[in-house]
Amino acid sequence: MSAPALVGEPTVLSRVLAARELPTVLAIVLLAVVIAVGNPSFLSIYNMQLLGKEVGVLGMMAIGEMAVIITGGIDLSAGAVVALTSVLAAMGLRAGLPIGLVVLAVVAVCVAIGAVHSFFINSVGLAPFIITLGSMSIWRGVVLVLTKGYPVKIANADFLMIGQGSLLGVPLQFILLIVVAGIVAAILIATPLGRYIYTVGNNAVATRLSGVRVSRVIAFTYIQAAVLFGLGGLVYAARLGQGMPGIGNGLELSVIAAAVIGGTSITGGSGTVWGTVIGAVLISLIMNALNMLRVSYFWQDFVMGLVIVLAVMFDLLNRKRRVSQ
Amino acid sequence: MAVDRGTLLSVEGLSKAFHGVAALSDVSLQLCGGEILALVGENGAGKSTLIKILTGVYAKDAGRILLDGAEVAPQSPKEAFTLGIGVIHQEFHLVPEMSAAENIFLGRQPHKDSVLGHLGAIDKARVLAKSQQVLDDLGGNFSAATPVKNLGVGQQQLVEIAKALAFDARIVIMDEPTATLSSTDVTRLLDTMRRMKARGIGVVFITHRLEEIFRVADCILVLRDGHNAGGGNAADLTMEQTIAMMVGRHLDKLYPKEPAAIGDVVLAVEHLSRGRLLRDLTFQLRRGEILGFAGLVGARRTELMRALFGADGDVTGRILIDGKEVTITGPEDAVRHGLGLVPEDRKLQGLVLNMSIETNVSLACLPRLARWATFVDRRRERALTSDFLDHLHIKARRPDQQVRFLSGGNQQKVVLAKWLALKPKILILDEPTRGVDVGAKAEIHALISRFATQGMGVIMVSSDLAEILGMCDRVLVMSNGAITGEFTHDEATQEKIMARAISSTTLMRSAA
Repeated sequence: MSAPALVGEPTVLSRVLAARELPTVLAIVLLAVVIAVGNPSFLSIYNMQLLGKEVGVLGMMAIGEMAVIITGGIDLSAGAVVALTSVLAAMGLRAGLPIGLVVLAVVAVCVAIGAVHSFFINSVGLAPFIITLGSMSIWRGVVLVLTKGYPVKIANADFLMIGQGSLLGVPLQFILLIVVAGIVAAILIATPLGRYIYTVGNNAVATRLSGVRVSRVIAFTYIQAAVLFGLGGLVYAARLGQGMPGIGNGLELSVIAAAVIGGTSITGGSGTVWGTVIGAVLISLIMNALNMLRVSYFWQDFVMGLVIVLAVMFDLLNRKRRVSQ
Repeated sequence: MAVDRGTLLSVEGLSKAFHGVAALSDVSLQLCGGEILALVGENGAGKSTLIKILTGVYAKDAGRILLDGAEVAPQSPKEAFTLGIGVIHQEFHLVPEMSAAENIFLGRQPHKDSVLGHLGAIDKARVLAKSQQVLDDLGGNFSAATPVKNLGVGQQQLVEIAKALAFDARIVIMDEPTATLSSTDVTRLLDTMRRMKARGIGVVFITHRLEEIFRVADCILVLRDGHNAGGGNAADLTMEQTIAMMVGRHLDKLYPKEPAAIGDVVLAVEHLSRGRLLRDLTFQLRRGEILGFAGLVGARRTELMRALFGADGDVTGRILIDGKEVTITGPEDAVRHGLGLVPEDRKLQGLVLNMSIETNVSLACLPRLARWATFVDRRRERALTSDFLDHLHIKARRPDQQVRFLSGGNQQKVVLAKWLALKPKILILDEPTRGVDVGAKAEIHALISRFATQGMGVIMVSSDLAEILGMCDRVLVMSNGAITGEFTHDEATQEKIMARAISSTTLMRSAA
């Protein structure tokens, strides 16, 4: 078998210029320069570590969200799952359970949450938007019932390492992101399951009629999303030293924004782990900029909303341009 | 009301070609007021092209359309409507939440005579009164104020007709209006048509069910391959004569099929049913055999294929593969048992258009290309794809080119490659050459023939009778969800197949 003839193989330069992530990378560089000029302490090690922590936890959750969005779905439960798992972990630790068991239990709860989401989508036929919106409200409610609204303190110093520790100056949660990114990227790029995630997003009917169990593919994406949100909850709990009922409010927007800014098409079919991490960097940087440039905390939600609208708009324009080509 | 017997519509020498392929050549017809003209022909005979020219959807290439003796050339459906030509489509265009009257006047509401009318106020009383009058004239026995969602299918159709008649349409074209109706609704509709006739309206009636024509039509016009193929007064014609005109001479058998050794039964289907859609189907398929499924649009051949493939639920009956009973609850079961399906609509169901040729070719067999049951072996995937690009003569620049940039014929070959990569025992092809150009069509036929010689059992659904006659060892005819005829390659003729495909109990009896 001779090697197939490859006509018109794109050059490295043309690929870089055509990459969907390019505008985001440019925006990051530009923003970093602006902040550094406005406040030199932006470049301090302390701030870089802070940024690394933020990128770590946001990026990990955004990767989970991305896989769901690629199949043409959406998961709005990120913030609520973070609150639930941070509280559950704190309560477990307070009850004296070992860290390993707590982490395992949190993961199991998240698997169940993802399974419930995909059950309602696959078997009941609910729109992902509806079931995960309902789920979001339900878990917020459960958290309030469990805690009566009070934070749950965590005394276990080993557990706090997850959110506060670092290795050679690199925050542990950033290392966690790198591990998660590697695993999910390997699944998406190299396994049949990963391939199906993309084909389902592009044409679920044709994928199903090719003998692929589409419902299982969808179930996988919602389960991994819930698990990654749950790990995010553990990180937040460890960072703050307590399970906080009100944490993660509006986090689902940041998570979706990071995925979409990173080139994940909101209508499904395309997206990359690399792009999503870049998206998380930009989001974290924007939030960091608001702090660094001493903009009121109260502007955060406003900015986040603006960013997500712009990101989806660019995605739309991008697709229109491709179709017309 | 006096019946106007003068010529209302006259079409002379109408022709239309698409990309050099004649869809309509030199077609003429006459329609008088108070007359029902039945327009018949096989799928693709040119009926819809003719209708679309009359209603201003397509522009004609040559010929004349005369309305009351004056030449007209409608440029849009709206213009045709203003000229008094109304069309009733098979699908309804009604707003379910609105009343019948509101639907009838949708977008054309009369305004009140008072000052309010100039400000846009709608004269609801007039809308209701006029609608009720038109519906009553048509024999409808329901209030015009009823929301459309509360009406039956037959009543909704009446609303569609009333939409045309409330604005003084003098010619009403009905495009397969009975296709979705129950037999009682059909009887009512035919009655409505007689009422329209009594009011002096000229009706053009398109249907595949010949017995309906003989119940109601005054004249028949047969189209075949875009030409006038005969016709005349309905009273002077028999059903058999009409069928002979529809099918015409025997087409030359353009499809030299290679002889294949017919082996054991590979697929046996026993008493397969699905609700009221599919009714008690039993048949067998042998290795090396090409089994054709003929029938008219709506015979539910696609539904049968989807049922075999597990694409839809609630199927009853037994399916045996190589003599062993199998349970197929989803396409994944079908694939596991060695079935492949090339679906009817390749763009929506057969291909992931935005992805590469290789992704599409390997989609069904991906787990087999995985190393350690985990990672897709990209080199093997590329090699497999290149292999098929060569063997099936798929014209593509690169294996990673997106499928949407390929021509229809090449896209269809990619779907074939997807299944061949799995080496199925049974390949189901639903309209394999629809929308494929002539050259690629011949290539696909040669490929299908080759699959059979390699021992595959092939099922081919096609509305192209010549293709069925040319390619198939055996032909099953379906009508209305049931098998109504079976012919060997040598027995099969277009007349016999058409006779069985038309759901006419009288005809079935006379053929028996």
